Amino acid sequence: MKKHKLLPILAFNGIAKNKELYIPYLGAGIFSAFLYFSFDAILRHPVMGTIPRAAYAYAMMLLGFILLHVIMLPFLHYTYRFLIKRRKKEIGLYSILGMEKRHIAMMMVYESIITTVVMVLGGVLLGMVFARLIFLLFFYMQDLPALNDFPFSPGALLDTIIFFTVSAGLNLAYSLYSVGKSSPVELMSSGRRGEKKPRFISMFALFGLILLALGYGMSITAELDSMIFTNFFLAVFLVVIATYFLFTAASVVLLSFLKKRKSFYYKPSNFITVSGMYYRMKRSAAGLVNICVFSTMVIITLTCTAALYFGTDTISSIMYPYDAGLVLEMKHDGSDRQLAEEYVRMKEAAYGMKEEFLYVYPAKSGCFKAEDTGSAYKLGSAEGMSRRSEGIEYIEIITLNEYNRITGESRELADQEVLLYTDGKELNREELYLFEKRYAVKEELMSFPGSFKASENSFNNDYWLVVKDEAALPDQAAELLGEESLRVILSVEGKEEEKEAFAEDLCTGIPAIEYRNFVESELDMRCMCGGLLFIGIFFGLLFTICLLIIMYYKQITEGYEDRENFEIMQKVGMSHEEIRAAIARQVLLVFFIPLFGAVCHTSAAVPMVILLLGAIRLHDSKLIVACCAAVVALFLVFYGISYIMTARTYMKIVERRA
Amino acid sequence: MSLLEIKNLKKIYTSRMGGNQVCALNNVNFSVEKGEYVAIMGESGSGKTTLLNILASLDKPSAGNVLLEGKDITAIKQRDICAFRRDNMGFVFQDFNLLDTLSLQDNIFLPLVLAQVPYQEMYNRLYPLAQKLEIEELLNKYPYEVSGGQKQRAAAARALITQPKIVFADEPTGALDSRAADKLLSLFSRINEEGQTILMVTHSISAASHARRVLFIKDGCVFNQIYRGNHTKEEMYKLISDTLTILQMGGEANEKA
Repeated sequence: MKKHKLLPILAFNGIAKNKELYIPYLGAGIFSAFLYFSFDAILRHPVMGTIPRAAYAYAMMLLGFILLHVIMLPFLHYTYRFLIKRRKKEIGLYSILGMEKRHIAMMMVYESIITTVVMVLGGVLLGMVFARLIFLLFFYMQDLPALNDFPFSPGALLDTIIFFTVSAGLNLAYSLYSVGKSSPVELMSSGRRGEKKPRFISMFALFGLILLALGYGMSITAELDSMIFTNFFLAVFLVVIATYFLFTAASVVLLSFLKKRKSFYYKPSNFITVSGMYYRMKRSAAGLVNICVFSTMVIITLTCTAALYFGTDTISSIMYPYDAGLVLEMKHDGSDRQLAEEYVRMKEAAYGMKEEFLYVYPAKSGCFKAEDTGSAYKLGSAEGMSRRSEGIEYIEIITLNEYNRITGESRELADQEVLLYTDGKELNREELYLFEKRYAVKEELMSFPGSFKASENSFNNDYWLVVKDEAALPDQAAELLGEESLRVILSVEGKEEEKEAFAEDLCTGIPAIEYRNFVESELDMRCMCGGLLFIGIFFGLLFTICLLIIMYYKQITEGYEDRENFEIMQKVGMSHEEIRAAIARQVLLVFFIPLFGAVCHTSAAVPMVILLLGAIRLHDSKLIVACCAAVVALFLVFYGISYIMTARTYMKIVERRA
Repeated sequence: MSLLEIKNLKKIYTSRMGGNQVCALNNVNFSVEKGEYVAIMGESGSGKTTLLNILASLDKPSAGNVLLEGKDITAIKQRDICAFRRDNMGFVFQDFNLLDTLSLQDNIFLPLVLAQVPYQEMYNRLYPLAQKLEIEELLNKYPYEVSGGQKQRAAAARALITQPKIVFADEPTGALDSRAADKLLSLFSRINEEGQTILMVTHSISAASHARRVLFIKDGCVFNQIYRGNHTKEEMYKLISDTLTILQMGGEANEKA
C-alpha cells in the first residue's frame, strides 16, 4: 500500500481503535462546536440590529462569547492531552517499527483533521437543528417578540471552522512537540515512574491557607460598592490558586499521614487506594482541583441564574418603583396640583391606562453631605461635590401636611421632630442634625408612597424627611434646597407598547424641570436580566459538560493505569469482591473530596454573590440562599449519578481481563 | 502422602472458531514431596506454563486432579480460590509483577494485607526474610528505583512471607543477567535447605541445575526426570544438557519419521 494512503488509514484506525477515548473527546468537541456556532449565529442574526433594546442583549452575548473563547481553548486542550498521553505507547510502537518522525507527524495531522471535521460538522448540524430552539429561548428570556426566521449563518460557520482549526492547530503543535522530543522507548514506557514527593509542602500549605483566607475574607467582609465586580473576580482567582496549593499540600500530608498509620493503611481496601493516590499525588491533586473548581462554578452560575430568574420582579420594583415621575414648577396658588392631576388623568384616558397609584405633592430636595456618628445622623452642606460621590445623599423633604394628605394618615410632629424614611437599609438613629439644628427622629417609616423598601440595600439609598412645616427647617437648609417643586409619581397598568407610548407622551407633553420614564427603563432592565439569564443557562450547561468530561477522563486514565496493578493483585490472591471494594473506595474519594471543597467554596461565596446580585439591585438574600440550597441539592443528585456511572466505567476497564 | 500430587492432568485448548483442538497437556502424572526443589524443563510450547497455571489454580484443567496435601484444588469454588491461593501458595514471576505504586516493603506485605494479618505480625515476618534475601536496605524504595535482580528478590520475599506450603516460580531468572540470576538461585537453594518446597518452571539449564530433581516435559507429557542425588551442580548441568540434547534429537528424529 502506498504511503499517502496508509497514513490516513492508520490515523482513522487510531481513532476507531481507541473508541472509549475518542468518543468522549469528540462528544466534548461537538458540544463545544454546537455552543460556539449557536452563540455566533445569534450574534450574527440580522434581527439583533433591528429589534428594540437589542443593544443590551448584544452586549451581553458578546461578553459571553468572549468568555466562551477563554473557557473553551484550555478545555479542549485539557481533553486532548488525555488522549495523547494514552496514545503515546502506540506511537512509540510505530516508531520502533520504522515509521519516521515525519510520517508520525503526518499521521497525527490527519488525525487532527478528521477529529476537527467531525467536531465542526457535528456541532454545526446540531446547531442548525437546535438553533431554532436556542433562538426561541433567547428571545423568550428577554421578553422579545418571537421570531420565525432562522437563516443559516455562513459567517458563524466560518468562525466555528476558524476557531476549531486554531484550537486543533495548537493541540497538534503541543503533541508534535512532546512526541518529537522523546525517544521511542520513552514513549513506550511513559507513565511508569512514580511522582516525587513535592518539596516545600509546608510552604504550599501555608501559601494556600493564606490565599484561601484572603479569598474567603474578601467575600465575607465585602461591601456593596463600585469595586464589587473586580473584587469578586479577584476573590475567585485567589480561591482557585488557593485550592490548587491546598489540595496538593493536603493530599500529600494526608496521604503521608495515612500511610504512617499502620492500622489504617494495611487494610485491603485502604492499602490499594492510599498507595495509588500517593504514587500520583500531584496529578490526582490537580485533577481534584479541576473538579472542585468546575463544581463550584456550576453551583455559583446556576445559583445566580436561578436567583435572577425568580428575582427579576423584585429588581424591577426596587429600581423602578413607579412608571413615571415628573417634577413640575410650583405656582403657589394651589391650582397647579389640581392641574397636574387633571393632566395625568387626561393622558391616562387617552391611552386607556388603568391607574395603579398617583401621588402629587410639593417637596424640596437636595444633596447633603451625610455623616453618621453612630447615634446621630448629621447632614451638612455638600457644595462643590457631585451627587454620586461618597457620603453624599439625596434627601427629599416634605411637610407633615402633605405627607398626611397623600398617605391618608394623621400623624403629628413637634417643631424639633422628624419622620425619617429610606428606601434601603434602616438608619435606626435617634437624632438627626440638619446643619446645626437637632431633631429627634420620632419614627423611622417602613414605607413611603411611590418608593419600594429594600432593607438589604446599603448602596445608593435615597432618604425622605417629613418635617412639621417649612419654618421647622434651618435657614441654610432652605437655601440649599431651593424652591419647592411639585412631584408627580404614578404607576399604571396596560399593554406594554401602549404603556411605553403613554409614558413617553406624558413625560414630554408638559414642560417639566425633570422627568423619569421608568417604563422604558424597566423594559431595558428586563431585557438585560433575560440576557444574563440566557448566558447563565448557557454557561451553567457548559461548565456541567466540562465537569463531566473531566471526571470521566480522570477515571478512565487512572483505570488504564491501574488495570495492570489489579491484574497482579488478582494473581497474588485478591478476590473480585476485594477489588470491587478497593475501587469503590478510590472512586468515592476522588468524587467526594472535591465536592466537599466545592460546598465550602460555595458557602464562602454566598455573601459575595448576594452583593453581586445586589449590584444589579436584587436585594433579597433569602431568595439567593434558597436558590443556592436548591442548586446544591440538585447538584448533589447529579453528582451522585455521575459518580455511579463513572465507577461503572472504571470497573469495566479494570476488570476487562480479570 | 505427597505434598502435591498431579494425576492424569489434561488441558485441551479449543480455538475460537471451534475447529482446531490443541492438546497442551496430555496425561501428566507426578508428585512433589514436602521440602523438595523441583524444576520443570521443556522447550517453548511444551506446556510448561499451562502446567504451572493449573497447579497455581490460575487455570482449570480439562481433566485430571491436582491434590495439595490431599485436597483437590481443581474442585475449590471460584470465590474461595483467591484466599486459598493466598494462604497456601507463593508465586515468583518472570516479569516480577510488582506493583509500581507500592514500595518494596508494601509489595512484600501485599498478600498479608489481603489476608488481614496484623501489622506487627507482618513486620516481624518481614525482617528475617529481607535479611535472608539481602534487600533490607531497599525496603522503602519503589520498584522503578531498583535493579531487576533486586526486584525479583523482593518478589521472592512476597512469595515467602505468607509461609506458603509451596512456592511456584515461573522462569524466575528469565529477565535477569547471569550474576543476578546466580544470586537468586543460590538464595532459592538456601531457602529450600531450610525446608521450603519449591517448584520452578524454566528452560535455563543453569537454573534447573540448582534443583534436586528435574522433570522434562515434551508435547504435553512428562518425558523424563533426573534426580540430583549426590551430583555436584556441574555434573547436574551436564546431565540436564545431555537429556535436553536427547530430547531435541528425539524430536527431530520423530519429525523425520
